[in-house]
Amino acid sequence: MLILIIRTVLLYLFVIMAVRIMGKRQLSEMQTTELVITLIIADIASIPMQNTAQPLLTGVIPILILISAEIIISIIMMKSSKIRNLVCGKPEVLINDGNLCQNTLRSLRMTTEDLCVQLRQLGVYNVNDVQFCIIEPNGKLSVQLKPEKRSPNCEQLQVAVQDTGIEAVVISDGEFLKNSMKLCNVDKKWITDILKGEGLTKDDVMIMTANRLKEYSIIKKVK
Amino acid sequence: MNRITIAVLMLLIAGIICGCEFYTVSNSVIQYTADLDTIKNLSERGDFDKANEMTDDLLKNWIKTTRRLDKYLYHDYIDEITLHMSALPVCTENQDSSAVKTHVEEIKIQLTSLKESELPYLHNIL
Repeated sequence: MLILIIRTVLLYLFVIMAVRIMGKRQLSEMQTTELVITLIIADIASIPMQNTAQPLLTGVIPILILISAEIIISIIMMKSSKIRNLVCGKPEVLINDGNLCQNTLRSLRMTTEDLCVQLRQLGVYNVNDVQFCIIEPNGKLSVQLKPEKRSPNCEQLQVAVQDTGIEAVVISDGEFLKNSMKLCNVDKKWITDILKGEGLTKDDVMIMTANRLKEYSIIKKVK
Repeated sequence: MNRITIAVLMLLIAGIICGCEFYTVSNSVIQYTADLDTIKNLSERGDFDKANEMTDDLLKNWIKTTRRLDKYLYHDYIDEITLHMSALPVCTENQDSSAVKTHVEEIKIQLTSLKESELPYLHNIL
């Protein structure tokens, strides 16, 4: 049992390191190949974790090879669009200038119902509202509505809007968040002064947000 | 560190581990096969005292070697060989040359298969 515990801890640390090395791209925009590699790594790691008769190295070596292959392939894909298209596929137009591309749908083995489901998930309830619809290599849809169906923006309405920058959380559960403070150009002194003015300390704050215009909001902790 | 460097480094580590494994397994198999042949020849000649001495040493050395081999190979394969090897001293003590020969042949086959299974032949890959 002790061996199982030690092996599990070692493999846990190793898999965490592996996923970190593969990078943020691996976690956020997972392509099909990346999803497969992640699943395989999880599966390979679990076998020597359970079976103590199997050397730990039989789990570690394939993971090392998979990570290396994934990094090398992703670098090659960055340099060559041909390889990128070969490995990840390329975007396909499903609706071109308001016309449904039925042949493309058929070649993707996608039904109109599938298309409508995905459009509804993007907030589009009528296919006729769509000017362009593209299916991306990661399977997600990108949609552009017809001009008359698009919401007008501030520029089109000629409305002046103040640039407040990003609204960032500067205190979370009584802790200052340095990176967020940098994002909205505030410092600890400014926050402490604000809190003093409100008769609070940082430990009384559940969430405090601020923006570049020094506008803020505070949610107090419930005691 | 650059990710490509890490990838190359990982491939290198994997390569080094594979090399070490192959070297250890291959050397052990060659050494033990030679020792087993000597034991078989001694028992066939009737020199059981010498054969007994050698089997004792062989078993002791094998136990040490298993610690290295267990890092690379399935423990079940190693345990099976250990089981056959531990039967050898009893056979030499009983001066049973046919039993010695049988065990030696069995161990040799297992050792050869251990080495062969590590070679990148098509039948091993498939």
